[in-house]
Amino acid sequence: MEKSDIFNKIIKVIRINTADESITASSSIQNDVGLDSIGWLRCLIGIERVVGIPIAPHTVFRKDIESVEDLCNVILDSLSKAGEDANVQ
Amino acid sequence: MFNNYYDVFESIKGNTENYIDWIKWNGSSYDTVSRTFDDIYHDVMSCYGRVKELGLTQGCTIAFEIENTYDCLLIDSALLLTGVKTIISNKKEKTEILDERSKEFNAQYIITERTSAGANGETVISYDSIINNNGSSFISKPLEFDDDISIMFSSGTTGIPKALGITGDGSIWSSNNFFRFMEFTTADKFLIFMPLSNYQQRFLFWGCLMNNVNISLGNDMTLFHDLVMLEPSILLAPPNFFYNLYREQQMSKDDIIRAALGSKMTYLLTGMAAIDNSVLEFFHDHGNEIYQIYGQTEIGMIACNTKKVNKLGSVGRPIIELNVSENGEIITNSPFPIVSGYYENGSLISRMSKKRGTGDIGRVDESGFVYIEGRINDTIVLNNGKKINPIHIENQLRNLVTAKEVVVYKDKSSGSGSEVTVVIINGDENATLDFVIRNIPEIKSFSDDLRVESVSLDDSVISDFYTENGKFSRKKAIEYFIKAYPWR
Repeated sequence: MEKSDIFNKIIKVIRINTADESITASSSIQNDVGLDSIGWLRCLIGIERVVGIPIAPHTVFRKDIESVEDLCNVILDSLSKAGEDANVQ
Repeated sequence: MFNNYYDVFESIKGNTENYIDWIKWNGSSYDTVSRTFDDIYHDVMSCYGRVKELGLTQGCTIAFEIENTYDCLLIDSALLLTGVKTIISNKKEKTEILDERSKEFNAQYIITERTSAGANGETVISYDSIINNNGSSFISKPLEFDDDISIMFSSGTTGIPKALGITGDGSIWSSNNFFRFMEFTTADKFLIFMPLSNYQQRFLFWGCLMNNVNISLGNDMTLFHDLVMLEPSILLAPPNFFYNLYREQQMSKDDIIRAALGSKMTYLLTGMAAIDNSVLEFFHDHGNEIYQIYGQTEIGMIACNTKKVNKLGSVGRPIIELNVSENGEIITNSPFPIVSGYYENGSLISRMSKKRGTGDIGRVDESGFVYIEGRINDTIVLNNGKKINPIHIENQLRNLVTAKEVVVYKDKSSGSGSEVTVVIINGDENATLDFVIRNIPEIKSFSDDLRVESVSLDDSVISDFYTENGKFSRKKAIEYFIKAYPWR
């Protein structure tokens, strides 16, 4: 699965959870994605489902993740460390 | 009969049927760990022995940074049995706050994982040095409660942290009273996920031990994983948890609620703040009843709905003595107050009486069900003398518009223009004055003096409006808007 496909799937999950089709990779986690902490936890579950691997629990709350693209890159990193063909849906 | 913590822990000795479980991130996935109640007893005793070896005895004051881990539960339990007084904090708070509190209460020790703690010369003890050192001791006789067991900091309903003295007999009585009223069974499993630094969560732990109810120990970062992997049957969560699921379910054809709650959930509880009836009805129609319960930081659990007696919109029947005063305030009388009083600069400055006003306005119906109608301090009295309940309006608005939060207030400062201001935080385009007037009947009576404002705020600003329990502080939000947005 291409990197761009994975990015698109993650962004789609965030769009569904926020009901906001304007979310893109460059969207700011703090300013553009209108989710509270519980909303982010719901999002994480959805992202895990589409990428096929568990994601470290603190990931969505990391202070070094500023944009949706940053989040996607961290998840891609987790995917490559998993070292297996993720069951990406 | 549980007179002290010795009785609480003696009661679980030999119980291999009930257990505590939790999930643990191993770097790439989650493992599930489980310990029986008998294991808890022996683990606590081992900790107790180690705590004694370290010289922590009755009369000591210990600053304890408690996290939602099994190890921290063991340490807390051992400290209770030792008779020390703990000053509670959590790792989300800055080190300066830990040090300030430690200094204020003359703590001799700090139990924490932070390497930078101990600015005042306290002895810093890591969790590991207590847990992994095979202490061994058994308690020969229970200690009498001659002082508060703990000091905790709670924002309560105001959003401003206060230091409260927690009593041992009040803690034991209150948690046991709640569990007995709710009639949870030994087949149930209670997910405790909100911070243990809030004493209510520790109450739930003690209540489970005293009533042989299984425990799942979670935290606020793994909540939905805890629900699915541990499959608890009881969850107590703040209203924003249910609002999130409600909104997500409305946007999806899949059964989001069932998928989120796990297969064994039978008891959804909420309190801490008001929840709109439409959300309660939605969950009821979905087959997942939410039972509202009512309590206060200083008093503990006051009223509860249960499976046997539940009235939607009420907070249930009282579980302690309750009356309504002439001005509508709810007054309670508890035989064993949880909170001894308020502390300031390390000293108890005001004692709490058994009988006290809650500051909440409410009523009791003919069947004995309690309804909360707002805070005395929040009631808005209009210039024409009419009183309105802003919380009631906010709850209605939350279901009409998509917004992060909503506040309704009267700006008493001069030159404020409109009498009542509705602020919709990070809301959608529907949030206009016309829309609000059209959809909320009680607003029509003062719509000429009403302002509706939509604002977009960064999460960094909005996060200041919440307490550590996820409770939205209206007071903090309103103070912000009065200061930052002088409406004209």
